Amino acid sequence: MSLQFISFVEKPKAHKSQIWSVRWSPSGNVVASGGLDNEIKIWEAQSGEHYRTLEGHILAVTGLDINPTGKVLISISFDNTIKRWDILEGNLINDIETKPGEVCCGQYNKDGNYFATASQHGTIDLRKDSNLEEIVATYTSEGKYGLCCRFSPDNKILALGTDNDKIYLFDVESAKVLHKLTGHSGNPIRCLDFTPDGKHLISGSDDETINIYDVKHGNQISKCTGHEGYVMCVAAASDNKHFVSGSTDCKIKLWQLPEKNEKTQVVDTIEEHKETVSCISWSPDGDKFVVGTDNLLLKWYCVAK
Amino acid sequence: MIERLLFDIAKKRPPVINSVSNIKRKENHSRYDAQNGIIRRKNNNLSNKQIQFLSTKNPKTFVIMIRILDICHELLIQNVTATKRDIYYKDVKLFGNSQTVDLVIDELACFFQIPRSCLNVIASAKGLVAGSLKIIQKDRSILDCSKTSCQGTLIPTMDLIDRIETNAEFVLVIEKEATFQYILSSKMHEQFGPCILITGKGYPDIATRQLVKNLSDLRRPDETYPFLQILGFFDNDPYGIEILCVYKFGSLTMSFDNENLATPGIKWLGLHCSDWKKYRISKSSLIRISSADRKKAYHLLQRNYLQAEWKKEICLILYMGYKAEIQSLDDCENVNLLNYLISKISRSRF
Repeated sequence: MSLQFISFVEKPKAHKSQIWSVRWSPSGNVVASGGLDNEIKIWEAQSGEHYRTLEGHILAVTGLDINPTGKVLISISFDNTIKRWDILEGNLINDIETKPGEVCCGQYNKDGNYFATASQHGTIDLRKDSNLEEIVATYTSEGKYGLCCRFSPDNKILALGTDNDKIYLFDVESAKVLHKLTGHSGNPIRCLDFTPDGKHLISGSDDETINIYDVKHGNQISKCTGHEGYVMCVAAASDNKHFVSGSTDCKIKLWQLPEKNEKTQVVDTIEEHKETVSCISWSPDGDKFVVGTDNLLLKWYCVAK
Repeated sequence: MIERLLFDIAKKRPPVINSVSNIKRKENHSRYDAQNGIIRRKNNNLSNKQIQFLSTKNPKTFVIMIRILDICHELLIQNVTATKRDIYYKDVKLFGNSQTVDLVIDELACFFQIPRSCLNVIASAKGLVAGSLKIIQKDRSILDCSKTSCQGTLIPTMDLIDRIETNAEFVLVIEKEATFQYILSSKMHEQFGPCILITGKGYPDIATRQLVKNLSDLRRPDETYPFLQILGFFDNDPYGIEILCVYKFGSLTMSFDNENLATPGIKWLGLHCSDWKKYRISKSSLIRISSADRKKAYHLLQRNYLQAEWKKEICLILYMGYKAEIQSLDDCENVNLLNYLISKISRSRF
């Protein structure tokens, strides 16, 4: 089975500066993007039409996520606030002040009732969606700086990627460290994603490689080489067999996970971009994804057989 | 002030000095003046701080202040100057350490609302200058900074300088002494056209800041606008950006004197994050930022008056997590320091 990328919507100058975070709403109808120009823009998912702009952050937006109903968006920024927005109405629901470095990235869990944020001390704070200021649990590690955090699809595990090449897998209920993973030669772990079946964890790093780990046993089963720059984003596809990655080498690669002892293969590479591909998000139906680049460009792709 | 103290003593009341607080950490004593583009002191609330004779907290503070006032008074009467260190050595036992002397002198200058040099306390020279500049001193001697055989001229304090003369077209302010010496010894600057090179050797002292400020104000006799462009060349890291801010806005401790010290018109020549890709700086010369770097970057971001491009640069450093030093320019294949500077200077002039 060979897959291929086909582009179907392009939005040049989508933002005034580098785009650092993009998310396709779990309800499928909108795409949100944010970055260095402090604005969050909402786009129609199919056509790419600009729906609205959420203004309020006074410094770069470094992360955003949308809840499962597709109505609420949470954004994280260097201005030391977490902002919670109503996407349809376009207004700010909550504005939470945090200390510098307290929140570096965040994600909703699958049910949308909790929001996890990683901090500069290598901890994850679990917050309630209904009251983001309240931290119900904290997961600590010896990691240096929490660059990315990810819920497993069954909401039972939280993964944390740190600045010094350590990935921690926490049990959400008990806060115990299930596994401590490493494998990127001391480099920062930029991005993490679980496959939808929760069996594998994909990590991208500044050592230009992507690792695949077995979640249950906590061992590395594959290392994917091919990028020539920092791997900025990885996103697993819905078929549990593929994933995409974006890098500072300006390329997007589509990979196929190995069966048994095979190597992870690159199925296709998009080389048309001139600047770093910083962020990727799949659509909920799994056959399309959107990328954001440093060239102010948002581009939608369809994966066809 | 002394008279009031004597009055108190005569009335058998414990004497109290009303002074002002000038601690660096307490930033709310200064604010950004948007009109002039510098950090200024807020209203000098004289009853801000009280120093009591024989207070329980720090009994010596009162005595130290009086002693320093006494020394400064002597200096002024005899028309002699001294450095802060000289003053410290006059009574090491009382003062304890040189920082105490520094703090009290700054506080006194702030209280009387005068530049420190008016107390006849001068700073020992630290900054270096070279290039097309003649400094004519009050004692009639002339410092010709274009003598390339030397390694730069120590910048004298403003009170010694009568006037400055130059035919330069721009001033290049360099963060590190190593870079300054490198440019000077390799005679690189001769290819830039007539210019002045200055380094504060890291965090610039008062004399360096004053010279840069005065250079930025120089006008030709028949013109209304200053003719010298001030270009700043710093490392691409939070510390370098902080030094840039000291040149541009002034520092918090000297906020009472920033009119004479800050150069709001200084331009940030480099090193920028966009230079990494443009000049193809090799990845191996990028350094991972530390938690101290991050803390400083967040601190800088809280200054609302920084222009948007500078805030973006700091965000980029934080987001990518790397910093680059000026030395990294020599590590890349395509361009070296000379070409980088020539390319940047020519673009900044227009």
